[in-house]
Amino acid sequence: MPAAFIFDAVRTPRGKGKRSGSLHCATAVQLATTCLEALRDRNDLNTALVEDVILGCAGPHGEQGGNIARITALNAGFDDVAAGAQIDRFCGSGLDAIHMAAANVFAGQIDLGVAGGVESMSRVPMASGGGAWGMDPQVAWKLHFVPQGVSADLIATKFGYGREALDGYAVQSQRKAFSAQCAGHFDKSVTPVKDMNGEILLAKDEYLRPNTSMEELAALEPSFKAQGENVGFEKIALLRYPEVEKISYRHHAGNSSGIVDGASAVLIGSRAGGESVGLKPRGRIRSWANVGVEPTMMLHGPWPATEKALKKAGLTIGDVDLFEVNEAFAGVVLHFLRLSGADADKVNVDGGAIALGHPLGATGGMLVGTLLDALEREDKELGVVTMCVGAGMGIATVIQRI
Amino acid sequence: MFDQELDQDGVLTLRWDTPGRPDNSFDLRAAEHLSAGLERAAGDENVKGIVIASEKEEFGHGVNVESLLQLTYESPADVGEFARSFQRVLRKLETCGKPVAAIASGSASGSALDLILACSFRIVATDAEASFSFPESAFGLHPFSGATQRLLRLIGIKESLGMLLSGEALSVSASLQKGVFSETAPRVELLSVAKRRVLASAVSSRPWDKRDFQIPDGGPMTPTNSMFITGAIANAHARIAGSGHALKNVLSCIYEGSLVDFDTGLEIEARSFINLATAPDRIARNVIRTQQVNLPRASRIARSESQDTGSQISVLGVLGAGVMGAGIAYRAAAAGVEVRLLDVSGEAANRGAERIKKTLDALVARKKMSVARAQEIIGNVRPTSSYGDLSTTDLVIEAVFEDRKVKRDALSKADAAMKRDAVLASNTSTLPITGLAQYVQRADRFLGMHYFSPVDRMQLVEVIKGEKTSAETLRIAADFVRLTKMTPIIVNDARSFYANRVLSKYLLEGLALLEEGTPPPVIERAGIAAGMPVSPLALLDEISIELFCRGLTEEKCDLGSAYRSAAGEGVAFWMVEQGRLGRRALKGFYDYDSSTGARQALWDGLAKEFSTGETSIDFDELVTRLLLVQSFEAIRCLEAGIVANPEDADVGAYLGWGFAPWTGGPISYVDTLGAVRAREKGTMLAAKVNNGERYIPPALLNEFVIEGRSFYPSAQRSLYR
Repeated sequence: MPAAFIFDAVRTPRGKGKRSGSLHCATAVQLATTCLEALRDRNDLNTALVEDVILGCAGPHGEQGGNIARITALNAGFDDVAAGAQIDRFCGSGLDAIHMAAANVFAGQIDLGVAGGVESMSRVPMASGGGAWGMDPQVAWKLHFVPQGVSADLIATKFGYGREALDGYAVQSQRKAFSAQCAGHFDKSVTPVKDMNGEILLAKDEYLRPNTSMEELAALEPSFKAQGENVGFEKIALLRYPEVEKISYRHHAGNSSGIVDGASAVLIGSRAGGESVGLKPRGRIRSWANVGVEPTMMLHGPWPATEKALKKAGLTIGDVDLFEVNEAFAGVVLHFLRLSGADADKVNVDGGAIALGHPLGATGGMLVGTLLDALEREDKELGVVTMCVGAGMGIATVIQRI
Repeated sequence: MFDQELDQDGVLTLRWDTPGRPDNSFDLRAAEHLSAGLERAAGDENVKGIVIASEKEEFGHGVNVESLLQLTYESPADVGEFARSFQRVLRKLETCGKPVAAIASGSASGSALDLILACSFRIVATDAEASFSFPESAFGLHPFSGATQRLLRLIGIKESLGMLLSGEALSVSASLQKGVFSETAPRVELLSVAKRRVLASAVSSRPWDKRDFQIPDGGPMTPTNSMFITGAIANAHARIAGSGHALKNVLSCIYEGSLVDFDTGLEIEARSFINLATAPDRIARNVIRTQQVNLPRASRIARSESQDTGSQISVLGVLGAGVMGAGIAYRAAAAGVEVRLLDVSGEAANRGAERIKKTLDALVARKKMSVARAQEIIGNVRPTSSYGDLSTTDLVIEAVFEDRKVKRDALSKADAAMKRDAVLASNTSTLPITGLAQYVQRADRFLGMHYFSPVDRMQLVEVIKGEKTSAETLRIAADFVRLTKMTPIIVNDARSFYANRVLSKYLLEGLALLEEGTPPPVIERAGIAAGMPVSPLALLDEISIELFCRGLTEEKCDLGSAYRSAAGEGVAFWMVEQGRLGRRALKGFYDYDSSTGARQALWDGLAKEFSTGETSIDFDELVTRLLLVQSFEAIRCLEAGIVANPEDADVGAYLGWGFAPWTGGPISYVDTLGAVRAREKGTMLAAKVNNGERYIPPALLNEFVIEGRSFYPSAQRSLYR
């Protein structure tokens, strides 16, 4: 069976996803273009050999709509033969783009492809695309739709992750991310975003708050209490989880992932594909999995997805050297740690989305790059990327450094 | 019905006047008449414009509730035809090619208000004391003549949802401000303004029939509207008990309607209406029957000529000026009845009057009542300590302390002081009326009148028939209850009467579930999910666990060896042993904040004592149990003649303890399940549940299964055939 290799991974820095963010004046297509150009330029890549460009995007409408992958490939000056597809699996979009490219390689149908994602959360706000899940009354009713923040607090309440534990985790994430940034751990994959004059808009992640303390976090008001208590989402969630007396609201801006702008791209292919462009593989995609879980609790998919992907690769949790568990909410990671029994020291060694931000569709590609860099740096072999996904899903990828 | 009058300028006035009725109802016949009038106008080139006016004091209302109830027995195809025939007429109005104005000098609701919305010019009298509403969601339905689509396109997503979901009645100024009406004019000028408008109008089509039409507040995808829609769905879903499905479908009509053209929107509305009217959950039928038909019927004083004189109570005596006595006095005084409020001392009687004044002052402070009205009410109350003052009373209600000796004393004194033909009632919640009747000479003119606390807010009164109580006495008492804007149900003398007897089964079931090891939050959530206004353990705390146990103990004493202990009662006694007496003690099934008294969390001692660690819980079954256990007891009350008919049982349950309103009541709930399924569930639970005798299907239910019957008629006269 052919294998799917990773030849390179790049990403933009993550800009604050609001008006004051450094990337707010860049278009989404510009962010993605930055990554495609970087992949090409630093690898001297003959784009005529790139067979497909697959980009994940969780808000594929407005300026991110209309198949941004194909448009980005053309905009980046890739050869016309490089086709393109945009996919949406909510937060799992970027990782799933990588799976799709890898699947094509595994199936022997392509030899070289680019996969990643893009999200300008400052310009295309979360949930602005509507959709039946939260807006169609018949569907929202039947599915017991609640926003993710309420789900995160439901998990924290039901499984007993207290405010202090969540905040403690967040402080650690900030500390690890800052020291990683200072130590240059992100330099290998981050490529600056420039304006049309070549002036740099942003060269490194800007969301971090390195001085975050427990006291500071303790002072923050919970973010999802009003949604839960006033709008009515708590009652809806508890119709599904009647054993929970009431939800305790523990997640806030400081222990949830940051809203940011960014893009990522990973070059994936067969051994022959790599040889054709003269590249040596950095890593290999061993296996992956998508799972569905109960959609109101929604965010507890990472462990079942990881378990499934490991099983497919014939591995166990103990075989894994490093994990990237997307920090959508601190509670999601704590829940993963409890269920998986994974060693906390192996998880998110360079911090995560609480400190760095979570540009939805772009994150999966970013985490693959971060993990590969870390495996190389620490001379380790096996890594897992896993993420919780909207509407009750989990996604995981097992990669192996070469 | 829509009388036509064409003036010299070419304005055709359609005067809506339903013959022989005090008000206009926009029903099928009215719609047909309007249609005929419109057809004539459309074909007559002399007609330049049309004005629709009402000849009644109020503009008009929708289809009456009896017809809506009948509609729930029709086939989906017939319900569809019903809705679409209204839609067609109003659409004809909008597309007849002539400018149309409606003038309103009085209230309009339902499809009659939609008739106004269908007109380009909608002019309301500035000086009208009128309100405008779409009340259908309270019936488990929504508008069907196109109103959801017109309202959406006239006033936008937010405002239309606000109006349709709440059923809120808008004042003249609010409806003008929102755009329900396009302008206002003094009552006397309405017609002339309307004529001027239609004559001056170059446009005869509605905005939504133009290609570039946009919904006023920007459609569903603006950031605020999309969030608003998601929030409105959640808000309605969180209130799922009650007319939940109606709210869901209202939301769909607005959401989907905002994505399509007007005529497709009408189709969506029609299909959604069919769904509500004919869904197997029968929410619309049950809600309309109990709340809109039978409740008003029970509350209306029957005016027959022979009985009209002599039955009016003009002077009421109330014995005992405590909370209940003062409450009863207040309701009577507010209905214009003179009240003698009697207590052992002038001081005690005055305290009762003070209580009433406090209630009135609070209403005045909240601007719910004028000062003059409050004075009028309190002016009707005369505190006294002299039984001699009862000599002019037509009815005396005893509301003294719940103790046989105290009652005996008060009743026999009142009996001696009252006119021979006056009626004497005891407001007792536990003592049998037939027993109390021994203390009075007028046993035939003696009865029970069981008021519920707080009297100023509760609408139900159980009128209790003792062994010797005459039919005339019951009628006088029931009509007095109606006079005070309350609703009587006639109940036969039996332990705990009807309401408390059935309600106690709900409370005991909560306790039994706890005893079985069900996690306390699950029990509470199941009560709410069933549609009960308060969950069982929280309600026990409110009532007081101690009081509940006292009732059980009394029953045990009275019945002696015949007493069968109920599943769950041990939990209540255990709670009292633990010093967990209820809310007033700040310690019950819940913990309460010692300074504010606010309810905190469920007491952690419960899980410790009763938890079995069992996690596989069939939540839906718990929900069913909490309702079915009450239904079976209500059926037993019917069997025993404690209540006379399903209507009284359901209305009493709705008003008395807010029994899951969406079901229509405990009897309607069984009808909706079907006798066969209800019996099956009962038999299954009786075998499965510890001490499950309460689930053995009542004999009456078994009969119904054999005879294939239901409690309410299973078919009504068709609107069509």
